Amino acid sequence: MLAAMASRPVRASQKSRPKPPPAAAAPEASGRDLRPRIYGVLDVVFAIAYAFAIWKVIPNRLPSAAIHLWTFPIATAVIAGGMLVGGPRGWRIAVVGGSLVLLSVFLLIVRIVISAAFLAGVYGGFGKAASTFALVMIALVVELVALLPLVQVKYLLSRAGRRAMGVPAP
Amino acid sequence: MKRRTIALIAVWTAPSAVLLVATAIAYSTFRIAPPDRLGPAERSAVMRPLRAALDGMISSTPPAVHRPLAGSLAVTLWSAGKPLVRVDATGTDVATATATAARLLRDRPEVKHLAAADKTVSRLQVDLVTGTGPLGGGSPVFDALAIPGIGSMLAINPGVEGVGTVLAGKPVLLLPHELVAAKLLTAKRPSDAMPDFAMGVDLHRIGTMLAARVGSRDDIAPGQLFRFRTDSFVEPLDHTSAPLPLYRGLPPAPKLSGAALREAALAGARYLVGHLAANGRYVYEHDLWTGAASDATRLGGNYSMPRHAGTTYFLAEMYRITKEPWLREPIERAFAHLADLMAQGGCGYTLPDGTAIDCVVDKGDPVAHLGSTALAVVALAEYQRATGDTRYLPTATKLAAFLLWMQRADGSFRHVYDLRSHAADEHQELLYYSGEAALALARMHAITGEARYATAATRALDWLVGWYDFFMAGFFYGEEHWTCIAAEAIWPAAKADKYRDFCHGYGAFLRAQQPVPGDHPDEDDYAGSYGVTPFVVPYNTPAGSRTEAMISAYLLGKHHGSPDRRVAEQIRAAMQYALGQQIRPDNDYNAVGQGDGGMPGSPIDRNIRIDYVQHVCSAMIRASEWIDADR
Repeated sequence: MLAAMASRPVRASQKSRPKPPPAAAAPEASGRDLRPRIYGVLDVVFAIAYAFAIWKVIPNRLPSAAIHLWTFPIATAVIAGGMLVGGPRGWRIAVVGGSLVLLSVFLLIVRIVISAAFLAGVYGGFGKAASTFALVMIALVVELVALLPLVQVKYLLSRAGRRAMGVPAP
Repeated sequence: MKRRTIALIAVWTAPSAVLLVATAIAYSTFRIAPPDRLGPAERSAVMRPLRAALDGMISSTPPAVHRPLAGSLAVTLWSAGKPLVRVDATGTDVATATATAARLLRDRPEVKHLAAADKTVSRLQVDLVTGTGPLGGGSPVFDALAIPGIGSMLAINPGVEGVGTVLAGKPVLLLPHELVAAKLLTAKRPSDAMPDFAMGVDLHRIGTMLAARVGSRDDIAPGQLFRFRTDSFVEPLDHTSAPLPLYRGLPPAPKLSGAALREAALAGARYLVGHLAANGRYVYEHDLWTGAASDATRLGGNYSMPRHAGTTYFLAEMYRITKEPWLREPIERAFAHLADLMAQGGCGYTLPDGTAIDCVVDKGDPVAHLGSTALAVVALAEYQRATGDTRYLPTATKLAAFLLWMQRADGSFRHVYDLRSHAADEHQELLYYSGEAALALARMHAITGEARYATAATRALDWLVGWYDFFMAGFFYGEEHWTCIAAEAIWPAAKADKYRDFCHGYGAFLRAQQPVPGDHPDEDDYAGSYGVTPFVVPYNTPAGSRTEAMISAYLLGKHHGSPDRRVAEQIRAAMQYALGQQIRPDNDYNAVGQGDGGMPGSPIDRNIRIDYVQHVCSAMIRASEWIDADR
């Protein structure tokens, strides 16, 4: 959805406004704003950390869980690629990658909520301890996985982010 | 409205809406409403024609109970603790299903051949299916979306729900108690790191068992299975009053009172005396479903010497409080076994300073554990407290010397001793031992009045309580029940406020794990137990062991003039729970062998081990002394 929100106004603006010369604007903007590179490096570090954690720390033998978990490092690596490549193409790749991570986090929360609802249905309640544990799990996932792409996509959709990546403002 | 505004609203509301809808769908799909249970008169009306059928009689008019059924009516005939006959009947309502079940029961050959005396002591159980629902682990959409393993691991509410299927157009059911008996509810080991931790149903075996019921060897896929809930009740002992409603296989608990606790503790002591072999060794475990029991004549195996000593301590405590004469000989027999083990164990040794030490160790074991000796001292001291008889004092003194030698300068203890090298292991730390040793030294002070024991016990307690002096330690407590028992036992020789504060804090920590009625509506039978979450069945022993500690914490508060009433209520709740779980005549219909007075492992684990009885019944007898007065 974030990717869609980002792409639509751009296309609209491209129709109504004359295209700025990207070759001249992009290098000038990116030279002033270091954030794309900082985000790119952070994305690389997080992607490696996620991959290591899933591979060595919390390996999951169930295919559906393993596939879901591996979307985090892969999509984060996609964002990193987009940020480091730069330019309008890199911008699109980064926004799509970031949206994928957020979507995957949302799906993970849905899975936790459905499981809690199932247990509440079968056992007649979920209990304070389990509720707290589920909330802590969700909070941790949001903090460790969702926060970086959330801030990053917000930045990419801003005027400063677009300017830094050589994308015309909407 | 601008597209951007709509998108913003969607971003902020759509995720919550999706989560709400997902929750509602999952909950309503899997929820089976609790049954609207039959009243006493209705239960009697259903049971009457079934009992008559045992005597070959069929009533011409069905019972006037015209409630609808969501499935079958199942009747189980229990004889000598085993299910002798099971019949299932269906009908338009409870009345017609009961009439059909009565005919089926009368015509069963096992019933026809049952002796009249056996019929008299047999008991009928009725299970009415009141609701059905799908099974987690059998629904592809749910299994794909939920956290992997949740649906299959925690598929049913254990002891409350059964599993069924339809084969050749006929319903085939595994009743809640049958799943418990077949040990299919804790059949999986989810963690390689914790091999002893078992939970989760075995749906494959359930499918196989259901197929076998109709003589089939086909595999039944989890998707073909369904869950069901029942309204269950069983005949009382006398067969005349209204059948007892069952929840998780148990009838309502006796009402909590000092007298009820005393009777229950005495029943526990009788169970243990009945399970003490001629050689002074206890029948360590007794499985009520099968009647299988440990062989007390075989040494070694999984027999625990600390538990032997702890159990004997409880019997001595019972004798001190009740003065029941039938307790004395078994206590002395169990002590004689300890003396034999000490003689055979070869732990006796003289230290360089000339002090004679000894320890309790099973024959052939190369290492001695501190806890075995500590609890032996506690038991011997309790015997002297109870009888005034000093015959075991020399033995207790040598054992206590071992404890003193195992204590470090900072008050902590070494926990393991190598018999061959006469050296203590400086590294191994085991649960409970330090608290047990502190209690042993406190008890030695109580019977001898010697200051060295009080000093050592105080140093031990200071170390145990002082261990929690770092930031994270403010969030948790370990297994400190012996610590609090020792803290009260050393009063008035040591009157530190920090012991009282520590034990009241431990009480608050434990209370957070104790559900109260209404916390988990389907699991109100767990109220008073100590557990985590409504879907992990609590063990029964903590309701005893932690209550022993809480009784000491409460008494310690009283000694200081500041009893914590919340701790008293916590004790009441735990004791009410324990009274309900103990095996007694009205709930022993499905117990094979002499189980009365015993304490099963959990509401779904019908195995009794000696220390389950020890801890729960020790708490009962100690609580019985003040529970009516301290309101």
